[in-house]
Formats: sequence, C-alpha cells, structure tokens
Amino acid sequence: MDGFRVKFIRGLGVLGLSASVAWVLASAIRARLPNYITGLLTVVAINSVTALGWNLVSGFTGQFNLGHAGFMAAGGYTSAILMIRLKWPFPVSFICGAAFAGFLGFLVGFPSLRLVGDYLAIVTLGFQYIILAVLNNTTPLTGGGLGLAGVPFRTHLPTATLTVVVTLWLLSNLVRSKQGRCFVAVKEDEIAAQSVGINTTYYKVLAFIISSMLAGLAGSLLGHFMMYLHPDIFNYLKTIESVSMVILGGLGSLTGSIVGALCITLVPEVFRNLATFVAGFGLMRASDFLRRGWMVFYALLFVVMMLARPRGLMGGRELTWEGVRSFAARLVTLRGVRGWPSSKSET
Amino acid sequence: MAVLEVRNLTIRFGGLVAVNNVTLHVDEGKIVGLIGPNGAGKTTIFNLVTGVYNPTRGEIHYRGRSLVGMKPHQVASLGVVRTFQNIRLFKNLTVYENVRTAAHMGAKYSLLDGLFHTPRYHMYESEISEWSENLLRLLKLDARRADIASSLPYGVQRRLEIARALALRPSLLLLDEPAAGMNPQECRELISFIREIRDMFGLTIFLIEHHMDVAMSVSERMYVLNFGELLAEGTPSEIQNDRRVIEAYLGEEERDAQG
Repeated sequence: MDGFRVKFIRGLGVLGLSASVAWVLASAIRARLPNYITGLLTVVAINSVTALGWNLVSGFTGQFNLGHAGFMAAGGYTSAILMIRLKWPFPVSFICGAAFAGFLGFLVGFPSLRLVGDYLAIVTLGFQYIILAVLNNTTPLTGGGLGLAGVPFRTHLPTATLTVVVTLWLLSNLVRSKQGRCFVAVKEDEIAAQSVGINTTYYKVLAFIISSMLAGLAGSLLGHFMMYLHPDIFNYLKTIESVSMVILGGLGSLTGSIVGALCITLVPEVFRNLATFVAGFGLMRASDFLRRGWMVFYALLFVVMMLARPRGLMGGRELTWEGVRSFAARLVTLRGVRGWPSSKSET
Repeated sequence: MAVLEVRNLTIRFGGLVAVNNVTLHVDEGKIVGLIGPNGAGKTTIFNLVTGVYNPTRGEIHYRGRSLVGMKPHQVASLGVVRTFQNIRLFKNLTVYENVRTAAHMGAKYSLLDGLFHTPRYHMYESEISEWSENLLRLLKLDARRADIASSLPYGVQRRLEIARALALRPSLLLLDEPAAGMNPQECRELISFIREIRDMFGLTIFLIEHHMDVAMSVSERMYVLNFGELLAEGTPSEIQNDRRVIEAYLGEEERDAQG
C-alpha cells in the first residue's frame, strides 16, 4: 500500500508543480506583456477547456455532440446571474455554473444517449436551440435578447490557465483509469463493450455529464472575461468552433485539444495583424483581401490537414515531455525526426 | 450439477418462431456443443442467454439465478461471457489494451479514485495489469501485446477475443463458432486450445460450431437444433448415428436422389 501512496502523492505533486508554474508564468505575462496578448491567451485557455470537454464525449466516447455551446451558455449564465443577483462569491458561482451545466447534461444525456450517430447529433443540436430560446425569452432574469451586462470581471489569465491545468490533470488521470478505458470501449464497439460487462449507458451518460460540466466551466470563464453575455454568443458556430479545435488537434488526444484551441484561436488574429502589417506598406488591396478573405485560408488549413494528417495534428497521441525531448534531440543532431507521429500508419 | 439450465425457451420475431420450446442444460466443467444447419437458431439461443434478446416464453437459469430480463453487461458481470461469430474486438486498440479494458471488473474503485489516482486506484490498476499480463502469457499472445487488434491474423484475433472474455474471470464461456474461417491445421490447434483453457481456468464451455469434425471431437455432449427446435441430444457418437440428424443435414433419401 505504501508504494501506491507514494504514487498518489507524486501525482498530486505533479499537479501542484504544474499549477504553480502555470500561475507564475501567467501572472508574469499579465504583468509584463500588452493586454492584447494577455487577452488572447485567456481566450486560448477558455477555448482549451471547451475543446477538452467536447473531446471527452466525442473523441474518447464517440458520441457526436452538437449541443456543446448550449452547455456553455447554461454554465456562463448561471455563474453570472448568481454573482450579479445573489452576490455569491466567484469561486462558488463558478462551480455552481459547472454543476448546473452537468445537471442539464444528465437530463439531456439520459434519454438521448440511446440514440446513435446522426440522431444524437440532431437531438443535441436541438437542445442547444432550446437553451437559446429559453435565454431569449426570460428577459427579467437573463436580459434576453438585450444581453446580460455587468458581469463582474474575474477571468484573469492566471485563473483561466489554472483551470486548464487542473482540467488537463483530471482528464489525463481519467482517461488512464478504467472509466477512461470503458469510454474508449464504447466508442470502439458498443456490443463488444457490453459483452465484457461494460454498462455502456452509464459510461455514455458519465462522459456526457463531465463534458457538459467542462463546457459550463468554460462558459462561465467566458462570461467573466467578456463581462457581457448574449444568447447569440452560444449559437451553433460556437459548437463548431470546439469541434474544429478537437478535429484539428486530433480526436482522442487531450494535448491535441489544446494545440487545436491555440491554432484556431490564433489564426484569425494572425491574419488580422498581417493585414495591418501589409497595409503599412501601402498594399491596400492585399490587406483588404487578408482581412476579409482569411476564412478561405481557414478552410484551406482544414483541407490541407485532412490530406496530410487525417487524424489531426497529434493523431490521437499525447504531447509528452519525453516526446518533446526526443524530438528536440533529433532536431539538434539532424538525424531526421522519427518520433513524430507519421501519417503512414493511420490508413 | 447444471451451470446453465434453459427450459421451454421460445422467441418469436413477428411471425417467425426463431427458437421454439428448447430445453437444455450445461453441466459444470463440461464442453457442450450446439450444432445445427444455417438459420437453426443457434446464435439466437446465445443472444437469449446473454440478454441481447428477451425470450417470448421460457426460463434461463445460471447457477439457480434467472437471467431473463437482464442486460448483456449484467449477464457478463455474473460470469457468463461470450465471443462472437464475426469477431468483435476493440479494433483500434492494442492486444494488451483489449484485454486490460475487459479486466475492468477487477478494478473496484470509484470515479473519484479514477480522477485523482488515489492509492486505491494504483492498487487495483497494478492488480489488473498483472492479471492482463498473465493472461497474455498463458494464451501465448505476449509477443503481440503491442500490435493493433485489427492488424492481427484471423486465428490470433479469435484467440484474442477469447483472451478478452477470460479477462473477466468467467465461469461459463459461450463460444460462437470459434472455428469459423479456420483451416484444418488451425482447427486442430483450436480443439486442444479449448480443452486447455477449460482445464486452466476451470471453465464450463458451451459452443456453437459449424465444422462438424471440430464439434464432434471437442464436445462431450451435444445438442442439435433444426428450424428452432431441438432435434437430438447426446454424446457425439450418439449424434453421429442419429437418423434425424443425418436427415436434417443431408436431406431424406428420396430428396437426396433428386439432387
């Protein structure tokens, strides 16, 4: 038992260490770098949490969920309303937002997870529209179509980064436990999973609840970052954004979701800055094209990715220190990079 | 003592009576075969026993406990584990992952243990990883432990499916056509393999088989099913000489003459 306790404490140590490093780094960035960079990184962090949540239910468990933004809205509005109307402290309302989103996840997941594939996607998409309709029509509570203003600013970069670190630690533990293996078994073959005693309904609902809670956390972070909430923020494009992040990073790769969130969040910003830069040389038409035509590049990025790395940038693998180290070592010795996931084995 | 007892089992799909009034039992430690022409209802009986279908009528008892109305995962967790006619592995996982996933039943820890990797998690995980390793060694799959399941040759996939079933520490193993698609050499190996695992794990085995020679040499008792009804039962030699069985397989003499 002692050896197991040591492992447990070592695990907590890893969390403690990475959380402190992240906090210190994020605080330093916030203090030293321009607000623009800090804000951008905060959005990356928020999007990472959203993408991680979607990855758990769709990447690991294989249940295509198109209502993710609905759960974000539920978490965001709950947390904001609890703080504005009831004056609850941020940590409490933050957790309550996630809990409420998780509860909704249970309500939606329990009946609808009997459906598979396209049918589940349609039901979850429908659920998202129900949430938006409710938000639009409960003006006294949520501000309706006018939006909810005056949400207190609480999502500093360190807070958001800490959320990502803790989420990543918990999820990477989860996917390496029996629960995680059962999630993957459900995705691989439901009938086979049942035949080895896996209660597939339980694990599907569990994945759905955890995923909704993470969406709720992200929604709440978003509300406390923008200081304003509006139903239209959480339309289906928000869901598609998470879907693209996860697919770009690789379904079933946790670190891939973060890489995906980073890329998808930064691409429009890169183009915007490029447009300004080009305009500085007087190339107005080129600048205009970059400003308005970046969506073309965005789509192209996906086409190229689908051709070159059909399973995402990380191809279902994880980014580990060891992987990074061996990659760097190979780069230095110029012996070719063999540790990098190749697309050959994926067909 | 009978491990599995099936009494007056009947299932109707609309107008079709797929299994009609079948009564059979499987004794502890025995290898019992279930044979019959295509569409006789053999796999349907397996599906009824493992909770995939609910019987229209009849009883299924496993060690005195009724299995009727149970879900497949509940039946499996009681120790009645099956394989499939058209192998169903976790195709994109490795050999080791396939077995370890199925060994989840031995890991008695909660969601919180899984999230925080508590000492309890580490204890059970080291137990099931040891069990999975042992199983791979015993079933001579350890050389292929890191191979992706779908990349394995057919015979090895079958063996892996059995290994995965054994990971649950079952007491009754249901094998659905284990020799399907195997050549005579592989069939011979399979026969000794089935006997081996029976002795090694103290199993009772109930199997469906299409290859008559495999069924005859591996089974200690046999049931013959035809058009959903039980046609005959007995030892392999009794079955071999049963006139009704010969008719069911080869047709009656007059009809046989016409081709």
